[in-house]
Amino acid sequence: MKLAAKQIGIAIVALAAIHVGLGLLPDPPFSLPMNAVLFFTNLFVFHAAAVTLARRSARTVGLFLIGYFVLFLLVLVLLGKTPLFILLVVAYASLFASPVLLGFFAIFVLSFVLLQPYAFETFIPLALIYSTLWRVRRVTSRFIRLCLGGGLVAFGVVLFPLIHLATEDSVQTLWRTFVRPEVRDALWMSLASSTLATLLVGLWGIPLAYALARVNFPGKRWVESLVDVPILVPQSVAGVALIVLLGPGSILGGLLESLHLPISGSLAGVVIAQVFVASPFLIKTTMTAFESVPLRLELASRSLGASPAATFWRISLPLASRGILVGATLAWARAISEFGCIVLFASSPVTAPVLVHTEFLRAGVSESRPIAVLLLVICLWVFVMLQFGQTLMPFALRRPRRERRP
Amino acid sequence: MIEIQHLGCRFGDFVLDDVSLRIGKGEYWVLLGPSGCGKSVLLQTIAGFFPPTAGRILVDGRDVTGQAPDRRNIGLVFQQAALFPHLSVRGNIEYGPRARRVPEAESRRTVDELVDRLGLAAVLPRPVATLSGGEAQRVAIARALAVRPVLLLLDEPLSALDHNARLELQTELGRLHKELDLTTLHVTHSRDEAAALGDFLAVMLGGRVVQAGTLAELREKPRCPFVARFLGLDPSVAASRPPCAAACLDEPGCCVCESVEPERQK
Repeated sequence: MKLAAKQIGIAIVALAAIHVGLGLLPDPPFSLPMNAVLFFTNLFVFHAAAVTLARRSARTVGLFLIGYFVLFLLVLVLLGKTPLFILLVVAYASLFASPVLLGFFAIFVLSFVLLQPYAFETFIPLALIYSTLWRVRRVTSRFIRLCLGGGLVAFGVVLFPLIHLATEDSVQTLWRTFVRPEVRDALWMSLASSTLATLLVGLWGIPLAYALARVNFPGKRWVESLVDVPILVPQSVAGVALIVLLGPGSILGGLLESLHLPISGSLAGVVIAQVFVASPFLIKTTMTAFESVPLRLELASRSLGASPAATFWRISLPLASRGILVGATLAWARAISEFGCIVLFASSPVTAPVLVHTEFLRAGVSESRPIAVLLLVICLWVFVMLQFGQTLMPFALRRPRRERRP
Repeated sequence: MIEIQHLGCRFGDFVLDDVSLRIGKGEYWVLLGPSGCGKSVLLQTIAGFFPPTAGRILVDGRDVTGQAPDRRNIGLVFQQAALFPHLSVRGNIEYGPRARRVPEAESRRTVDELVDRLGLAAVLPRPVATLSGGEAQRVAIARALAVRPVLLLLDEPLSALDHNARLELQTELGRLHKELDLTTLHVTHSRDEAAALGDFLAVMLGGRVVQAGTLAELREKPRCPFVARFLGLDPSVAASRPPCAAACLDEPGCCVCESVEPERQK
């Protein structure tokens, strides 16, 4: 549909009338030059609308106008920033023809105008989510896109405290904190103990998971549920339980102390607490990984003359290795994030989460925040490395092919 | 020579009941029967994956009933080739000799010979996941043969293949059997395969071997209507046969349906 010259004329006259009217008000909202600039801006918007109308339906033009009025209400009426309004409207009218750019524009306005104090930490995640949705728009239904987009945004809200925290401290502050010896000791202690704990869990967890994946016995369901118990137990309860068994006053603790193997207050104590809380994550994931190795591969291996142990080492373990690494990553993450159990049972040597807590009690949030940020950054870095590491596993079983939809 | 004597086994819904077979050296036996009749259970019991509840398995007069599967030296090929996805084609074929600690040179010679014989030279460098069904099954057969098994068990090796690949591999199996003098037990539910490959035939139903013998014998004198129909003989032949003492589950009033039926329902 193309506008006739007469219609264009009427629209321009109406637009001019509005601006002249605004200028003639007893207390004009804009100065004369500003009003003139606004008039030409609106003229440009009208031109863009006319171009759009020539190519698209009237409905699109309606959307265009709605967008314009949203910007008008938001920036001009609510915030009263006229120059910003002019800038945004010109950008809006130019970008309207391209839905991708328009989406990014909307997110930009949302982050930098509405949520200005959190501009970067909202803009980057939202833009990533939007670009993801845009990329999958042809291969998924609108319903799945809605689930994906809604879920990701809600999840972003959940993670927002962390995202915000990571942008709070300057690099200088972080470095100053990092060179403090007690901070470095605590970070080092955390990394070392959780790695050790993960290795220990793997040592007995992987064989147990293999057995549980391959054997059925009465009561197996109960054993599987028992494996999950550490997830269920509150951390403080676990801490008290460990103190009662191994603490300074207990029989077993006293015995070990007399053998010069103190548990409470040594690295061993930290590792024991972490093994306790981290084991379910490794065992459960590993079990699923072993279950996904087809039994007939093991049967084939046996019929070729490999013993059960050789079959485990040469077939089952390599084929489950990716899942095992996932489990180990989860267990490691759980171990390094453990606080409640350790603070009760093994508060020295100090791990990073405990240090964040004591610094907070001693000097408030400004002192503990950089330590928290450091811990967060290091944990995320290792976590991301391990996640990428899975894709590099040489023996990875290919993922089952997804069904192609017609 | 492989002797299966009065083998009985119970595994879930599958039951073997007094199965006896005598497979001479170099004979190609086809085990024929409808799905769910216990063919695969029989095969896996022979391979050693299920302990039988009754009976014995003798290999050249030696009792292997209680032996672990990795000590029996019985080759097994599955319906889906079941290749090890993390190993190369050569790694798959070499797996058996390696597991048995066969000297490197000898294992290399064996593998090369099998690769030649099965025409696998072209697929050697390819990842296992990219092989077609027929190629994968050839590799699986080569893998099973690399340990020179006393008995080769084939569990519906052709069922998952398309028509052309099936015919090709069927010819190949016949040729291999002649060239290598393999003792083979081939499970299938297709009578065409049975007719094309089997020197000897055993028909199974409801966990029992209804009749065993050469193809000609069975064609000439099918023991009961079930066998006649399963071999695709003329309906008049089926009608003329007297009901037998074995299980014909779909023939009302025929033979021991009454005695087998309640057992299967347990």
